[in-house]
Amino acid sequence: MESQPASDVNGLFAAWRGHMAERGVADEATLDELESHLRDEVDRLLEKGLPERQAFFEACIRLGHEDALVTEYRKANWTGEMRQRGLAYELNWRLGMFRNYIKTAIRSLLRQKGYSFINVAGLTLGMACCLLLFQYVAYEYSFDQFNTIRDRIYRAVFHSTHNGEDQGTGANVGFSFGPTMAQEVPGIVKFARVHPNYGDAVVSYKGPAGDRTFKEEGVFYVDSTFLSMFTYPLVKGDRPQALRQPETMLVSASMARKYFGNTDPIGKMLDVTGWVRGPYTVTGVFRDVPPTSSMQFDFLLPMQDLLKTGMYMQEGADWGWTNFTTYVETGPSADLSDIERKITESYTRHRADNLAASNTKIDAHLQPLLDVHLNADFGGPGIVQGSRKTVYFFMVIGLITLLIALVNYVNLATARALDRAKEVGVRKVVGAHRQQLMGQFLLESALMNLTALVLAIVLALLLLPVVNQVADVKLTGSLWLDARFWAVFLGVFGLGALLSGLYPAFILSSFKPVTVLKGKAGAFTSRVTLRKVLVVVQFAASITLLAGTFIVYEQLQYVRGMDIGLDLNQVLVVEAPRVGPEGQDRDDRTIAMSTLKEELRKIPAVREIGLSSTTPGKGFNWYTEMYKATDDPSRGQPARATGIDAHFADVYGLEMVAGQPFHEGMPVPDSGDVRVLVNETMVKAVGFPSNEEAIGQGIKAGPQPTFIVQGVFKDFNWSSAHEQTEAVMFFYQPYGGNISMKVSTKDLPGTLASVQKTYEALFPGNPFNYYFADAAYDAQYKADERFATLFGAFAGIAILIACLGLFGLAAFTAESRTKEIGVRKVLGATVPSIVGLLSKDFVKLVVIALV
Amino acid sequence: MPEVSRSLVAASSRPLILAILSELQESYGYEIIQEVKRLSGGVLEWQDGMLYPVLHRLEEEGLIASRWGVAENGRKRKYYRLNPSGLEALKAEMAQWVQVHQTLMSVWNPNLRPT
Repeated sequence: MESQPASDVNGLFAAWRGHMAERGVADEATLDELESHLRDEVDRLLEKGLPERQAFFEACIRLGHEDALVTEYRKANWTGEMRQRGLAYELNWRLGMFRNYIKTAIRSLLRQKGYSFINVAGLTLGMACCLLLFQYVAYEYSFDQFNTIRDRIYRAVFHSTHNGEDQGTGANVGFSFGPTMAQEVPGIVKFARVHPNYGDAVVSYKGPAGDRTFKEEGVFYVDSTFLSMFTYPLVKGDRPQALRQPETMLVSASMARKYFGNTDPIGKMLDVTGWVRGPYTVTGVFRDVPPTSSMQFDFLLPMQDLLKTGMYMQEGADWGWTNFTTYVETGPSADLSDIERKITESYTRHRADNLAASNTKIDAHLQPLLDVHLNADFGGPGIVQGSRKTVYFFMVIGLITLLIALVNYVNLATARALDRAKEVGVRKVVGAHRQQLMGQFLLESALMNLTALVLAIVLALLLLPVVNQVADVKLTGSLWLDARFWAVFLGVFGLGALLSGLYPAFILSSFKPVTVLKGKAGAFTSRVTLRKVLVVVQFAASITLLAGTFIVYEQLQYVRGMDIGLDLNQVLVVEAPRVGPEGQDRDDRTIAMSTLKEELRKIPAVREIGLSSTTPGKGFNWYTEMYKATDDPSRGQPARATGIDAHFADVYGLEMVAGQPFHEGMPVPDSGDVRVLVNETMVKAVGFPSNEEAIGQGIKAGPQPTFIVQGVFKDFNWSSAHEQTEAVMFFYQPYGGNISMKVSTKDLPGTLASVQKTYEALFPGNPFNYYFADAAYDAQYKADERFATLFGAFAGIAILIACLGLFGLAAFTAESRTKEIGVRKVLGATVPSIVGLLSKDFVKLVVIALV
Repeated sequence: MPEVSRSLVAASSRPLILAILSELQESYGYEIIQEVKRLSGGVLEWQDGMLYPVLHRLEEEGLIASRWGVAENGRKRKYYRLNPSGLEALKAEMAQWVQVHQTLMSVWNPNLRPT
């Protein structure tokens, strides 16, 4: 029918034959028959008086739609051939058909490059986010899963009620708890106590190649049962014997390398200065602790050694110094609530007097090992704490982002429908079934989603290190290898692709050819409302996320800008020397620190020097409860204490509002009353009527000693401004741990060098570690910063996707209204006014979303 | 006269062709189409080209046979005639249609007039 016009009718027929052959009707006999038919028809029309050419074309039209003819012939021929050649042929044919569909799908996608790109981009972003988030969630949930008997290991936690007030739940307990429970509660098979070396320890190796000394943070004291309960395999050494002998230790593989290089660590000695002091023989090496272990450690030392130190030999230390975490192993089918009851009963019995005196009630519970990392409500020492809530939160955000991407897709696909309406119309006329069309569109959707998935995987892999950095986690590509992960993810992906493809496919294939070919888009306007709704929803969600980010950032800024009552500017802190000559006692140390202070003061840049056991933002020495000396211990209020010298207050700008400060050389009594300085919160907490009236009064944390209040400081935020101001007590400690110096900013490197030289001259064998007070304080907000960054990132991505979608819609609308624009231009509209007209619609939508 | 739906047109094509061939003994494509149009009073509008694939299928099934001949005007023409099996098939189709017709007639309310 599209033959070249020829003067000769025969020429027309020849052209027609050629064309039909090209279309696939190549059988000569068939062509002959059809031609014969055509000629008969042409004759009849010529009799009626039509001119030749017209008769020919008329006859062709009467013959029917070329496409239909071709299809029918193909069908008929294929059937015959199929019967001849059998099943293999059929499969081949079907494959060919499928390949055809794919080719068509790809061609159609490429034809609409711009739209395809936007859609794939949006989907990729959404999917990459989802992938990363799933990884994160899986990572958080995988903590401690490597332990073989994880289902039978529990951490003992205690819920306390003080004066009827709920005091929360924590895992801290004394060292007698474990053994006592193992004896008295039949359900407990084994126990293991864990005690981190709060603060760091100095570990030193005096080897043939020289000394290697480092400050180590991962020193843990554990019972020998620890290794049989938890799965930390040994690469060297005898597991059953490990940690049974005193003054032996286990090191991690990387620590072995760090101190001993490639030589055999077994039998070598390390000098440890921490809560215990002395030489330790290495009797085993364990594989590096995986990042998904809630307990992170590099050195394991025997619990028995720790229990021999002065502090834990004191009377009352066995239950009173609650610095231990106790894990228990139960039998295979243990009745948990029964065991918990028995533990509570036994605990209460052993601590009866103490509990009664402070009017406290304790409820013991067994927390499953796998809950430890995620449960942020229970505090506990030495644990890498995650938070279930945070995980849920980010999961939700991830899903929202994916949702936005999918909504995007649906929107754009439906919007493009008008363009494709004609295509659909023609296809329907030629005889395509609705199912075929839907199949075609679903295939296109699947292809786009698949491309997006592949790109998303690449993107996610590239971004993994960034995420690790920002979120402070250690995601590895190992998750990709987990089959379950793929099952879940592909399931979600498949569902998403199907659903998002279904709607446009449905719409597109439902067009009535007549309506479409006549140019009416009427059947289609009802969809516009849905599209608008979707866009509004998209933007609303994204804007909510953005708003959330602003709020979080603002909070962060506010908290950091708050006046904390301490001057942290230009304060350099050098960590205290730990290692000293043999037999050094407190007085010797005081003298040594004094000397250090004098020497340091000689450095011109150093303006003030103070000593303290802890510095702002890094916690306190003691966490306890205090009450007026004249009060009942049950009135105790939470309080903190740390040791400072006479100059500390000057370095940090603490303001005294009542009483006297410490003076240099004050006595530090071994027994009897101790003079202390407190802050206003402490005064209020224990119940003194005013700051002045607190002076000279006594407060206590236990039966001994009594602390006499010598002075009161104005309140300050020692810990993060998030928390309420704590009640703080300072006791005089001239040999304190950390040296805080107010330095001038001129030539900081030079100052540092001088300080280091002085330090090392006076305290050889000690690693020189320093930090700046303001940085250390800010580090408390790290968690918040991290959260804000991640949150912001997701909000940004969501908005990006939504914008992509909007852009696509806008571009498309502009295209489809070209006629309208043309007319308006002719009528004299200016470019800006046209831009305004087009944007008006979209701005309206965004504004609605904002609201 | 109402337009007949595509599926009815398609379904009736086989019995129609077989019947026409049995009437005319031997015929060719163009003639068959003209007969259909004449018999149905123009109601059954076939796309002319659609006849031929049906003829081919009928031939493949062995219900009709074909030969090439020369027409009066000197052109080549493919002629078809009914095979015995074709006759059987025709009878079977007729039986089916009659059955359907009778069922519908008994169900339809005589008071309902077709539009």
